[in-house]
Amino acid sequence: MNGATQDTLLSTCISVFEKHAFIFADPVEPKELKAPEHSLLAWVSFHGGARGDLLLAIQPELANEISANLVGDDPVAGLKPLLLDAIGELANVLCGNLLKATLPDKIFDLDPPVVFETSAFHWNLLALCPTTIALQADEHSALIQMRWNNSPR
Amino acid sequence: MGLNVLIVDDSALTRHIIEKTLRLTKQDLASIRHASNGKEALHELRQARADLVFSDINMPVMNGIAFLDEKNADPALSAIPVIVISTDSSAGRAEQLRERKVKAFVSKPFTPEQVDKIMGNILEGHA
Repeated sequence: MNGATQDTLLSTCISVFEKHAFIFADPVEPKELKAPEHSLLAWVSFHGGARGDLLLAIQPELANEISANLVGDDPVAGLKPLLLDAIGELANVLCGNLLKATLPDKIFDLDPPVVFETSAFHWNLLALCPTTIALQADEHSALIQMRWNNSPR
Repeated sequence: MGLNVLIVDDSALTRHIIEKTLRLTKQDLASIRHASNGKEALHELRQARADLVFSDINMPVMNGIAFLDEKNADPALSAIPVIVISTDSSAGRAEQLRERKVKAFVSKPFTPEQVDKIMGNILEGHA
């Protein structure tokens, strides 16, 4: 993935965090982040114009804030199923927007997001990938990675 | 008389957000029902009247494209207008939706103003 494409991915991620999740996030160097002991990992697979996956790892504090932003004042905002749904939907919106930014003329089908709790080990694995994007808002972070099974044409 | 709306999306949160968005618009709403995939949506449409459908594309069990095909093939349902709300806004997808007579497309993330404007256009017969 060339530099121009990575810049496009970064600006798209920042825009989605702002417009979908109402979070103003700044890019940071993934390796500079201390891996949280627990985080949420959302996985969206796509196929059609190209095949691959989007992975989103997010610290629980940031996930809770995003869920609260999306649900509003509703007290169900803190409930686990809605939290997982919120992060899955964020990954879904990220994936769609990143695919549109990278390959705007192709049609893609996205599988339903899978969201699960994960550990520092998986966070570190993701942080070490050179194409991983890291965003931070109020000292809480998220990692985003697009993986292509075949290079985008 | 108010509008009867059906919201179709596999994300319960997204359905909740769309419902909240609809309630923020100026539209007179009689009922808002939910379905989590195309198959459930067809069942809902055959149970009770809907004046407008908001549908996602990527859903398990039956996706939005298959839902539109089956809805359009049913004379009792074919005239119900559909607004697609999805992350997929490629030119190719837009063409697929046009072929299936979708009234409008809203790309995620969306604003209440976008939804209000599109609903207004459709209900006034401008779409």
